Amino acid sequence: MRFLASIKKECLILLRDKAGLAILFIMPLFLITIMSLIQDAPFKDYKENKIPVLYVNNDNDSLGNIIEKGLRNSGIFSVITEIDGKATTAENTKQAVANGDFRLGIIIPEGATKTMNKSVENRVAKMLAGFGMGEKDSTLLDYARSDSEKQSIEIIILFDPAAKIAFRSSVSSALDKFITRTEMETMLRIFSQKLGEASGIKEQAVIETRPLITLKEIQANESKVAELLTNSVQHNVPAWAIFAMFYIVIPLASSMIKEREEGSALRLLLIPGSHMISLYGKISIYVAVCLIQFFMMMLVGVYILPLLGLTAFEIGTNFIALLLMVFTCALAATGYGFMVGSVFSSHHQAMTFGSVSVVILAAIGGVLVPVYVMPGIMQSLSVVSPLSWALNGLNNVFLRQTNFAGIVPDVLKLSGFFVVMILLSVKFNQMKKYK
Amino acid sequence: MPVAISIENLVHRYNDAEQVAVNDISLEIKEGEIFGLLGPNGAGKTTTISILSGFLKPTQGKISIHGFDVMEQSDESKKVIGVVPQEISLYPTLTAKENLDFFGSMYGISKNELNEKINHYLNLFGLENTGNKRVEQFSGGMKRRLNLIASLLHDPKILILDEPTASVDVQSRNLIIEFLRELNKKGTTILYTSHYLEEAETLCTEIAIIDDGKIIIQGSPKQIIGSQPGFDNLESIFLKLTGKKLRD
Repeated sequence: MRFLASIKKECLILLRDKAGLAILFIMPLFLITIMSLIQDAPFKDYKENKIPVLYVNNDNDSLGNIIEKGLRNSGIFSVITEIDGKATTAENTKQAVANGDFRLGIIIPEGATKTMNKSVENRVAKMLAGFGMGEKDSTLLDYARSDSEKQSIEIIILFDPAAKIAFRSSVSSALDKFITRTEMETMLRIFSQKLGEASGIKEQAVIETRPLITLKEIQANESKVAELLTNSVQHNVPAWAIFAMFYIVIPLASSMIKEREEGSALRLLLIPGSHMISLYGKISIYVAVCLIQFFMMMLVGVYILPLLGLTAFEIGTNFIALLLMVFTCALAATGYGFMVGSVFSSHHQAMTFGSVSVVILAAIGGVLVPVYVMPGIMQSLSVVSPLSWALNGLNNVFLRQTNFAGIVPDVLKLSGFFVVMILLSVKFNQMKKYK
Repeated sequence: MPVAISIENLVHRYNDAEQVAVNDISLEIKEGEIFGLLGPNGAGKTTTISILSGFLKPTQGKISIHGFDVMEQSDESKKVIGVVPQEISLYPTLTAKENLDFFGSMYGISKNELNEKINHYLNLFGLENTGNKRVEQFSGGMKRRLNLIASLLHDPKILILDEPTASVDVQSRNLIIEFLRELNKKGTTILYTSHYLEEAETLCTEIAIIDDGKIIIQGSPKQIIGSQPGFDNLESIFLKLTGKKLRD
């Protein structure tokens, strides 16, 4: 009965605190929606959004055409050959990239195919001469012996100065792939042609240029949802839901300080055993609030975000593990709120410390950006953040479809954190009581 | 008469304070008394009451309430006392009834008994029509009355009041004083602090004036007035004994 009375009292106080309710329920909804929308584009960058590339084909021959075709078929680039209705030239392309209108420009020099063919023919002639074949073609051999191989084709790649190194290297390597393939195909074609001429066979051999070795990318987990890690919804919904849960430090600490300031905490100290019962009541209510918050965020991810053009949140299938993870996360968040509310004496101190500390713990815990994209030192630091344990545990449930045992380490860490926080807050309250 | 509250050689020094707040106080309050603990600001009244209520650990000394050691048998001693703190100790966003319902439930009073008591006291203190109003909307006098009711729900044998009539209008003060008299007649021991000396003179059966943490005079109002020739009221004796220097 005492416990129920305590629960009822906490409910009434919470329901009448409009600002507290807004912090608890409305702010996280906006956070999830806004962050998912903002981070949608970066997440899609290399996946769905094609990179626009200004293409200047001064070659107008096979090499220029093959590279253009390769770029178009890559699925990564969208090839643009006109700027404001005018064909791309070296000049207007340089200008557009320098202005930041485009992040990338490619210029294929004039006569690139001819130069490439000549160079390849020289190499083939040199090779055949090495085998004592084709020596009759003395002109070609002489040419081959000359220093002509120093002629090279310079394909120019123009980058926006603001483009990141990772972007530059991924573009360069994609382009390098097309060029190497074209060069190889040309060499095989000429080699076969020259070999035919040297052996007196008129008919040219059919050359298979399909790659012998290919790469196949698969997820370590065969689950369908394993691919979802790369979308903003799948990262932001659990991440910001955890952030919102820990943000209850503000209304919870505020409620505790208010109780002390209003004197109701003092009256509770006069009633034998009521202080602890009131504590249990407060814990129960705020844990329930966290659970409601979390599942509200999930519903937003599943039903509201798709209406804004985002991917629907995949909730997974392991509901018991999910419930356990969310429950321990709620305990940890509530424990943290209790500790802050017990340590600080004024609203101002508690609000400032509470909000800043949660933002810092969220940042190092991988809420703002996933831990795996952080520098090494930050990745090492992330292990101290309870938000990181919570996010890792939830990702285990949502993405890695782990079994029950997979979440145990994070569940234990979060539960331990809760116990430590409550013990600290009881200690601080005792110190305050007898001050 | 049996002893309700016994204080022996009580000393309390706040952290890092140069002076002691309570300096070797010893007194006995007998059952059925209305005991007035009077003194200027900073004299040590609230510190003494805080130690009696179990909020503060004394630096030295022993206190027992109805035979229960306040520090060792804190829960037992808390059960027999009702404390009306100087500050309003209620939830402002809850209604009067919700506050009383919560604090009464915390004392473990059954639902029916509690409802009866709540209605009885709200009627007695003229709050019957405002029971469903939030405390934050109450006047100062209404809050004081409700603050008193919240300390009475568990029928304490001893009622400790720290300036219960501070900042209230004459009507509310009169109602509170009359109620305390009635309560005392029914057997409740009352320990009370106040700056209203005339009120204390008429209400209390025993008075102790305290200054700089020490009791400087103790006795019934008549005895105290009689012990100071040339003075015919408590206020003039109080000023004579504690001086006219302003206190913080």
